[in-house]
Amino acid sequence: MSIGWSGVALLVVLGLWVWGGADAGSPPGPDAGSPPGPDGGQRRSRIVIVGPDLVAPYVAVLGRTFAADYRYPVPSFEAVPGHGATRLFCQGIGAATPDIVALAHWFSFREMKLCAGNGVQDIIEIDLGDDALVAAVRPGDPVFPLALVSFFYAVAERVPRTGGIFDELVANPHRTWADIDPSLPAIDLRIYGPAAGTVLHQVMKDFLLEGACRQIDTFKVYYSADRRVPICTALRRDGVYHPLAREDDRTLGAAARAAEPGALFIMPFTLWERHQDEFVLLPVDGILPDSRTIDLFEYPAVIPIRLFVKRAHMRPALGGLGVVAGLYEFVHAATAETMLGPDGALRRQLGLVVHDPATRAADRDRARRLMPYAP
Amino acid sequence: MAHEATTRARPIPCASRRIGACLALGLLAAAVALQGHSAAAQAVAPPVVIAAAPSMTARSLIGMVIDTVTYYAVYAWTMVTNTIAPPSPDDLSSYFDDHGTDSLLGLLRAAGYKLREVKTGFGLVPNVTLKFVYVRELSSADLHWVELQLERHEKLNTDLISAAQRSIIHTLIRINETQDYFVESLTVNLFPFPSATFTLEPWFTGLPEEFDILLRAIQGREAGEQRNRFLQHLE
Repeated sequence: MSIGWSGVALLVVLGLWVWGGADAGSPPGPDAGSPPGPDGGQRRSRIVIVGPDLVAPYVAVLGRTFAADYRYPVPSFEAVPGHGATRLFCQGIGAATPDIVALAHWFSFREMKLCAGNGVQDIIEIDLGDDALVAAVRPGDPVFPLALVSFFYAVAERVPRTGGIFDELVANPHRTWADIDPSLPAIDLRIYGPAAGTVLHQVMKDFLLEGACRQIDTFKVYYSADRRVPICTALRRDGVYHPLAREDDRTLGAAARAAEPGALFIMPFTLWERHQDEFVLLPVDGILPDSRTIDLFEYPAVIPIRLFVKRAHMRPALGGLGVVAGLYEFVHAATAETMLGPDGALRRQLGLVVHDPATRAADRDRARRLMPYAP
Repeated sequence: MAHEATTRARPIPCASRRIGACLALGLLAAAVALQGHSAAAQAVAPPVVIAAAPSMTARSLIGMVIDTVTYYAVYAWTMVTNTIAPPSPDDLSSYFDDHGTDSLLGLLRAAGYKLREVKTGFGLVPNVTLKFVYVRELSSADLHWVELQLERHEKLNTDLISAAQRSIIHTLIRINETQDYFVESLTVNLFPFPSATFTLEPWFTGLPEEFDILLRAIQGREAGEQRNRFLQHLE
């Protein structure tokens, strides 16, 4: 008996519909009838999210919307500095471990291996959007193009002095921008930026300082990252760099009022969007940060904001162990157009740079189909 | 001039973009150049021969004809070899000056690899082999930056060749992130079919004997100096 090509096509379409329908589509209701979780019946009713303090505002908006739309408890958020959040997330499966980790970077292959080693296999990525670390001055102060290399020579503890066979590293002698580059204004170096220990400080070191080091010949001869990175990322401690205790509206406003004329401020793009009248953005390496250059990763210091969800904590019907209620609904809420779209809550309330419609649709589809993340 | 234009038009984009399309473009460019040259030759060379002919002796006329034929033969041979020959190192070096991460070379540079060797070969199908070596160990920030560049590359280049290029970089990063091995060198063949060979090295190996002796000598000397300083301090 032959069913013909049209029959085969019909079967394939039917199969895809059945397969897709199991995961995607409108979210099912609260987890009624799910069996108890793996930790002897410790089935949580509240989702637990961990991450650095930088992502806290995004998680708060998501949590409030999720709780209002789906009538689940507001997820709890635990701020964990550095890579501690990933380590907690990758500890294993069960009610004692977080359900979601919110990060300002992608999961690396090494982190995936750590997770896999502890049984955390299927991880679902939710791409919320992008932030960036920007440089700005106050209106009326000289506006100049900031090169990453100039920024390095302004804030680094030790800088190369050229002239010999090998460039010698010396204590940073620069006092004005013109000392670094005669084309820059002859104003004192005064830089206000993130304090040590924060994610933004790490981002500044990763993208601005190490980014500059990639361009400086002296550091190109350092093969070993262990030797190169500490030199590249050490900040001067002679009063030129002023760490801001917090990167919030109040702290930034106070610093802006107290700073000397010509001071440079390093802040998140989302914070600048709320203070556009008080600060003027500088192009970094010739690229002015805006929605387009950030979304295309043309701007050199983009901060991707991502959530990673454990599938194993979802209800058994979705391939999980039923550790926490409402995890799939959270994925739905977090990927809704009302959350991630140009008029979505994250854009309106926090100024997060959203992706283009096609990327958003593809990301949403991947997340709602629970397709595992692959770095 | 036509010779120079041909060598520039064909090989350079082929190093990183659509190979098949590039080959086709190369052949097309060669065909256009040949046509252009024959048109130019009709415009310049033949009138000289014809105009000179009445006042020439038969011997000098034959000589001129032979010269013209030889010129065209040499030119045709140059055109053919340029069409099927690989790019010269000069052509390639101008391409390598680009420091962006839009190309495979730029992505490899971001991933810590630098070009060490270019092998080119003549044939009906040109042969180009590029060898890259690992020159810069990546920090976690570098790795993050490479990931951003790969994301950017994916947004801007959705074709199959670009996907293959990204896959090469992903493979390099994955292997280098393991605790056991790293990719010591990468060999990319562009023609006749694009392929990549990854040469692995263990991260940690015993030192060869001569290096081991050298290391022990340095360590012994350092220990001796420390002991002397300590004794001086006691005195």
